[in-house]
Amino acid sequence: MTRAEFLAELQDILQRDEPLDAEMVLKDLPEWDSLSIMAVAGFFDKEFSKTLNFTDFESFITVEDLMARAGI
Amino acid sequence: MTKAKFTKMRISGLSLVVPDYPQSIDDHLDHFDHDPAKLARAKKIVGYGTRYTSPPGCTPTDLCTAAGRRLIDEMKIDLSEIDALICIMQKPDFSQPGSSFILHKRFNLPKSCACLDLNQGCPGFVYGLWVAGSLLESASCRKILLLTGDYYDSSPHLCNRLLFGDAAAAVLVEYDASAAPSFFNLGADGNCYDVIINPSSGARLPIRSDVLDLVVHDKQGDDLKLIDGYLDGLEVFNFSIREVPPNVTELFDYAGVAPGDIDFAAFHQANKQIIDHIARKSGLNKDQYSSLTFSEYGNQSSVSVPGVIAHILKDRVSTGRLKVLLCGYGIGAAWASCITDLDHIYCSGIIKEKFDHMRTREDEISFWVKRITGADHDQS
Repeated sequence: MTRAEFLAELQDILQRDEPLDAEMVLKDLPEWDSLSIMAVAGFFDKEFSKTLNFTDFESFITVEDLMARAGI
Repeated sequence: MTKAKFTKMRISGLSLVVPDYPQSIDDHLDHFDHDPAKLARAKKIVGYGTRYTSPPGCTPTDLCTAAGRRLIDEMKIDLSEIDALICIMQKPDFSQPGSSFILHKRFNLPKSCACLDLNQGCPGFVYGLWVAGSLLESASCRKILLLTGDYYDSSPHLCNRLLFGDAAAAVLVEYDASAAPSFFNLGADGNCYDVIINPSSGARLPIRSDVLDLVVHDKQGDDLKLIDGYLDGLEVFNFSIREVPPNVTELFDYAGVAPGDIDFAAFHQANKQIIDHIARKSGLNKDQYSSLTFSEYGNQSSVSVPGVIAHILKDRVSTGRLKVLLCGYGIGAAWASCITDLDHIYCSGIIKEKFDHMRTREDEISFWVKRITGADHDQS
């Protein structure tokens, strides 16, 4: 998965109209809530075979941090 | 994991009742900051739709009574032949005795019928069926009534409450020497005992005035009380997608069946996203399972596996033979799956029933005062 594909996928998961970029701070996104956290955990399990727990999510500040965890 | 193969167990009938008081997620826009876009997103991800809730005074035991009476009437069950009643319930009418005894009385079961209560939630139906199968296999019982019911409306923790729908199921499980084999695979992880829990509900932290109004802010940003159920959504999601697919795959190997051999998989209806993940990782196709029961009735806890049968498979199991996967997972943490045949069984579908004019709290207090002081005769 490319970075552009990741951003598009994340935008779809968040059901967000505006595009995302890597520098965006997750907590500043109105769509970033417990619902999206579960959806992102599912996305990581499905696409990257990685399990994300609560501590992981606490450590993610920006969209870039998510991509780093995904390894892309 | 614990595996079992039974060759004398047959599910012969199933009835399912929900209290006919529907609530639509669309009526809870306030929970989504009055933002229709947030509500639409939650519906898409979680699968929120309609759920049914019990009116005041109506308990899971009352729902079980309705489901059991329907099963007994429709199947014309000879009560003298029932050897055991197994009640799977987390919210019995009393912390003691268990509700199996209340149901024993209400169904007028004979003294020869044994009663057993199992404190199990979402995986409970498959755990209960495993116990019933063991009793039939050992020939200590010939006919067993399995009852399970749950409700969530007592909890004011709205975030979780919106997931759950109240329901009860009654199932007749019989000894049949020519039954098709049934296979079970069960597991548990006590390390996760606290990811779904009601902290102040038992002997550890009895309900007293100091916890009645104590509100805590959970790490997901929701307010709840210790007397309400707590559910760590992300941890539940993680253990479900970690533990359940290997459990199902092991069961396929043990039973010698391929995922494609299963006519339908009745997964516990936790929510749409969890069901989709578990089914996909278990190698099942989209036409082999459904999360529609969650969307139309909510997460029915221990009732959701029979709920899927009643909701989705009523006609197919009434008129034909289906090889089904039954799979429950959740509180404990525990998970359990079963492969069995449903062959021309009685199936009520989902019956919506009114429970008006239930006893009020005042009635209940008055009843027990009279009962204990000897001022009245037993009328429960």
